[in-house]
Amino acid sequence: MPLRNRLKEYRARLGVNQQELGRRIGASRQTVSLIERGDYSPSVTLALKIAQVCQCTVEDLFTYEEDEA
Amino acid sequence: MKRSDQTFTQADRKAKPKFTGILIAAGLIGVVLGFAGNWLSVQDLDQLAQAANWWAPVAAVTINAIALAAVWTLCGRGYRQAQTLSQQDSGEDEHLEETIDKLLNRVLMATAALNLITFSCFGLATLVLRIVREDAWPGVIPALVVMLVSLVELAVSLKVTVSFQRKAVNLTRQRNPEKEGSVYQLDFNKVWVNSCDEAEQAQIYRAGFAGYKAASFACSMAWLVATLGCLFGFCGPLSVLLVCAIWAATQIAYFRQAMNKPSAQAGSISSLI
Repeated sequence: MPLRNRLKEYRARLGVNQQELGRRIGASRQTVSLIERGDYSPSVTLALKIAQVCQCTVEDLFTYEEDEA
Repeated sequence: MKRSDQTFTQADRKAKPKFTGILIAAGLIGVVLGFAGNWLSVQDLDQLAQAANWWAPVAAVTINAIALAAVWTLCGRGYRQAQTLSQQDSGEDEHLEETIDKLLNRVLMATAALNLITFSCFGLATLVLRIVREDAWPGVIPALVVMLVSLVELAVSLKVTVSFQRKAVNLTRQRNPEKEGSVYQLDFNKVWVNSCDEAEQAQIYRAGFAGYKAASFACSMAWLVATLGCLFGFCGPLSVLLVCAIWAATQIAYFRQAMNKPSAQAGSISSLI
């Protein structure tokens, strides 16, 4: 998946576990885990919520990298 | 920019040989089955049916009892393990979370399998009533005993299924407080899905589509078996009609949703239910 993220890093800065972060952004613990592993790309709404909670921009959290041919 | 007709023709040309091969193979299998069925004389089939009327109900009751015991043991063990791990869970260990989820999913799968086995076996067990009517069984009492045992198994199986489903759902809700719904609610599926977030709903979408594909394939195979059964006289036209009714229901449900106009909550499964 070409979308990379630094969610785990920002979550560590906040000092919360996945369950607590999920509660703050209105998602489940499993979804936070999927996003951190790169197995799920959040919607724009969820990405904005995550950025708001982590007190950063969406671009700080997520980067889009095309696979090189 | 629209793709040219040439692109479509190339894609068709690439896929056509395999598709044609499958059609020919299916036709040949049908011919073989037809000749094989014809080779088995009508008398042989009648004798086979008579023998099945004897052992099928007893086998069904036995299989059901074994399945019930196995699922009860497995589900009990799985649930207790999940409960123990959940008590040890501090919320930091991702692998532990996944292990607990897997255990609970296995419990739910086992209860679904038990339901299918029980309903199938109960259906087979009702053959004893036909035997009594046709006076083929040694006596009424053995037939009634088989039927009574089958009824008790059905009741116990439903109780076990609901009990373990309730436990698994409640433990999941305990670990995920945002989840809503009780297994005793008639619209539990809808309430539960509405409380899921976007990733979980996307997973439900995928599971639903996989179910649709499997059901479509299963219906086509069931239609084939029912049609051959109808042709050779070991089942009536009702079986063909039932299969087609189920097939139609899955197709209509799928295409109705596919044509459904997205609401303001586009992408949310709750807007489609």
